[in-house]
Amino acid sequence: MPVDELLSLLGEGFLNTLALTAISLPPAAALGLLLGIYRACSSGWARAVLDAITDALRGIPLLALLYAFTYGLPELGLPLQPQAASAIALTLCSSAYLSEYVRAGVLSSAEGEILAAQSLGASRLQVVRYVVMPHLLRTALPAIANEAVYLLQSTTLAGLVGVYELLSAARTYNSKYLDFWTPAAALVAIYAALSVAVEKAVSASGSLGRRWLKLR
Amino acid sequence: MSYVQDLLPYIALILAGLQYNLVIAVSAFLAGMAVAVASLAISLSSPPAAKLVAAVSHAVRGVPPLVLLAATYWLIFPALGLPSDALLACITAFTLRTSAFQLQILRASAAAVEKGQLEAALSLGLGEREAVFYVVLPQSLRAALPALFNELSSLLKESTLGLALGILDALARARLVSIAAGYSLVWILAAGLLVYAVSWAVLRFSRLLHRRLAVPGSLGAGVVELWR
Amino acid sequence: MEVVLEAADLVKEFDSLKVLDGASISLRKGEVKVLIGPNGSGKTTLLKCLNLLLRPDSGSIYLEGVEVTAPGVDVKLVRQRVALVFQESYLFSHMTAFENVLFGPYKVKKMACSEAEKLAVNALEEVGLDRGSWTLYPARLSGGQRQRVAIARALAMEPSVILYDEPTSSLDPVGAEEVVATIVELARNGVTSLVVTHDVGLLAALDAEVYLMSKGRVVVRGRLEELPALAEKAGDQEAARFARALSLRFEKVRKAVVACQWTSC
Repeated sequence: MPVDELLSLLGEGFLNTLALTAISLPPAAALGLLLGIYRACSSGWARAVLDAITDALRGIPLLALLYAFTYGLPELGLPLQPQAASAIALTLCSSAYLSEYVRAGVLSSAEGEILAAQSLGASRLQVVRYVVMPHLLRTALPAIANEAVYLLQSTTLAGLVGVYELLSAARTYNSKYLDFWTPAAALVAIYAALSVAVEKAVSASGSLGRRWLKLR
Repeated sequence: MSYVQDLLPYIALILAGLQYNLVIAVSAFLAGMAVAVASLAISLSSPPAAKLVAAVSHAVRGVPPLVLLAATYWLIFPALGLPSDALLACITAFTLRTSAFQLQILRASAAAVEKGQLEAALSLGLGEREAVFYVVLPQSLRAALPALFNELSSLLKESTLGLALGILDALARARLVSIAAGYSLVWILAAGLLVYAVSWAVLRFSRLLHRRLAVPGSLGAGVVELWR
Repeated sequence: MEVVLEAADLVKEFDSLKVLDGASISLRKGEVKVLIGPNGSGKTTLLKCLNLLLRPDSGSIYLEGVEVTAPGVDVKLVRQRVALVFQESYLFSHMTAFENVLFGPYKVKKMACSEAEKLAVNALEEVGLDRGSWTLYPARLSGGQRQRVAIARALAMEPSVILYDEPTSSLDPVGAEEVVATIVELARNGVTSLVVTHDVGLLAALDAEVYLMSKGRVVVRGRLEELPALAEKAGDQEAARFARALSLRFEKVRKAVVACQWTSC
């Protein structure tokens, strides 16, 4: 069993998987938070448009989005590397789901306190910063962590549009040495470890955010 | 006009591919439900069994769907001596995956039924099995319906992964058509929207069913539908 | 004494249901008025309109002579001067009691920290919350303490008028007594107050003029005992029935109050 070849192949795939996750997750979180809060606290046609776009991003299969950005955009004169196209597709899809969890989080837990803050004369920005965000960072965090893990798992789909991520590496190894058991076992272990790491990263950011939002 | 007529066979081709998405999603959903209910029964029988089921379920949920697909097709099927049928492998893999998620849903909704309900039933003198069957189960099924339909909707979308095993579903065919006819973006988005339309219909039906079956007065304002 | 807050002919519709149908009310400086009415009569909606949390569909509201329902008015400034205390207090659960009271002057009014702290300290002392509880989070406070912090939060804004929306309805007897004492004390010190309540203990202690609301308008006003007759004369049977029921309970409590001097019991 050529272990060093396994390690080098998987190593490259691992780095690409990690890179793709790391590039897509923070923007997805930021966009999801912004969208979610906006959609929860406003009404009107702008909100309706955003609702429709979010619905579409959640409803269209992720693979279709990946295909659209990888193969569809070059035809419009916007040639993108598979990594860039995948990152954009993953970010957009994740942020749509995140905005839904955020929206639900805002509506469910903080409604009374939002009223109280408004009664004191706080501006919209102040309400978001001092009431909505602290609540979100506590209640919506598990859902955000869940979505982050799902994002990690979704990087495997990027392998179908040309990104050399972990699964692609495993399949390459298989096609060379006709052994899928070894790489598969390694894969399961790696993804399990990465999932834990991602969850920890999310909760760490949550605590950091909470500290930054303190009143004084 | 003739331009549209030229496109008709392509459109028909893509629509025909949709049947694969439907077959995969529905079969996996139903089979997965059977497995989930069985797992629930097993986990109710004894605490160590419950721990085992929970661990296996957690592990399965942690595996990326594409990895599960690949493992089923290239490892499990050959190991079990089963024929290399892409469709069957796909359905099997998704059955395994969705059963883990459905188990989670069933357990969460059973827990969501107020403890007081079970206590009241037991206080009336019902045996534990009867209490669960007549009081907890109906309520938890009602609560689980939206989440279960979410799962079906998510299966519909994940069914597109079948093209990794060579299954020519709507999306795969859209890609092929676009290679032949150009306008990738249009064909791909059309296929995507097609699947979206079907899952939207499923969720619409789910919302209708939820309202119809709800206990009068129990639905609050702003029921948030979370779909995957 | 000049009029601090005045509302004229407010109309507010929700989904084609007229919750407010020509409601009018006015408060002079230092006055304490009570607002009662059956559920659905529009009491809470009226309060929320008075501090512009909700915008009335028609009608006008004047705060210290200025029409605040006119276009171009900064709603946030109005809300700083018209404080609203909610039934559920809605304290910010992630801030301590002190921080809750500090929030208004420090972050909304953007005062200097030391000045804001002074206001917060005074407000908390005025509502009589023991110092030891100032650093506790709302989850650790009793219902009565939470509501008093909510009142302090309002006081710290130095408002022209305080609106109370059923302040004791969700409290146990001990908490209710604390809050009643607080509100009465503030009223005695000249805080202009409008109290929505059906707590007979609060009614008895306040001993103020009562406005009776029904179906979106103020039907009659006067002393509580006079209301049933006045309402019948005005032709509103439902309001009369409500006033009679409340008046009956009130009489029983008032006898007890007279016998034992409320605040010293």
